Amino acid sequence: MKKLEKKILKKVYSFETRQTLSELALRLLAMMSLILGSILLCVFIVRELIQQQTLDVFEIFFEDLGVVSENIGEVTATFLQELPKVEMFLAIVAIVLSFLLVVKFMQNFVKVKNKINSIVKFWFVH
Amino acid sequence: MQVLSDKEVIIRIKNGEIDYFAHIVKRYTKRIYNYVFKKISNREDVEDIVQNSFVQLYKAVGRLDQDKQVLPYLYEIVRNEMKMFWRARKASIPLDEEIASEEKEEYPETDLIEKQLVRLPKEQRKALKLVSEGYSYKEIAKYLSRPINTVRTIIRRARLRLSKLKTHEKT
Repeated sequence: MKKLEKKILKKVYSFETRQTLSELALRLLAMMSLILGSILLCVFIVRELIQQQTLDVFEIFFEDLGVVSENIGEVTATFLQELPKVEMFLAIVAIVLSFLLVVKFMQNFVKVKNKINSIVKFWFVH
Repeated sequence: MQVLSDKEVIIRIKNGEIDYFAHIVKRYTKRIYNYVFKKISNREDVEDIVQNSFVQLYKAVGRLDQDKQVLPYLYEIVRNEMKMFWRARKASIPLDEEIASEEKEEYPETDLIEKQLVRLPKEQRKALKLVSEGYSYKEIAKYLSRPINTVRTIIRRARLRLSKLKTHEKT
């Protein structure tokens, strides 16, 4: 019976090792690519805005408060109009997704850590 | 090894401490092995079914209701595994019709018992089924949420009724 119990545990651990490693690799890959993607998109957007000299509209904030309050609506409208919309949308989606993935990863961190501890103990200590 | 209840073990496994699955394996392997061995006599096949059943149980741990006992769920998995085993066998060895009819003639009682079981009240039927699966009276009492003496009475009445039905069928 001991032999059979060992066989069962070996099968269970093989399944869990495969599962945990592939899940971990996939999650890390998704997180890294989303974070990298959002950084690249942000850099692209800022570069585009600099090139278009769109950021110059914010020089108004160096003026008096009265001038600022008078022109703030127009400045915002101009800024929004000149924003690269598709890239902006993609960047927001990427940031939200990577944030959700990071939160989920943090929530499951203890569970994943325990699993990895058990797997290492089974394959390397036993 | 600490003695933990099924509930505690399941909670720990759900928390990622998968080494606690060894508790479940140690607790139920012998019982499951004997149960399968009663139906399938090939030792290797039995071992395969037992192994697969435990792996299936492990895969389902996340969905398990920790307030319920593990054993009934495990038996359900084992029964499914056995069904799959028989199905696979059926697919690989075409059964000669003659042999099949001979086999049916060999065990005419099985069908009769099944028919009679259907005529029992639900609770009596469930209790008898659990007894035939090797559960103790205490476990059945817990499963049916009834006092142990009531379970004894239910089973006694079910047996009585079955034997009455049997004699009635014969006459």
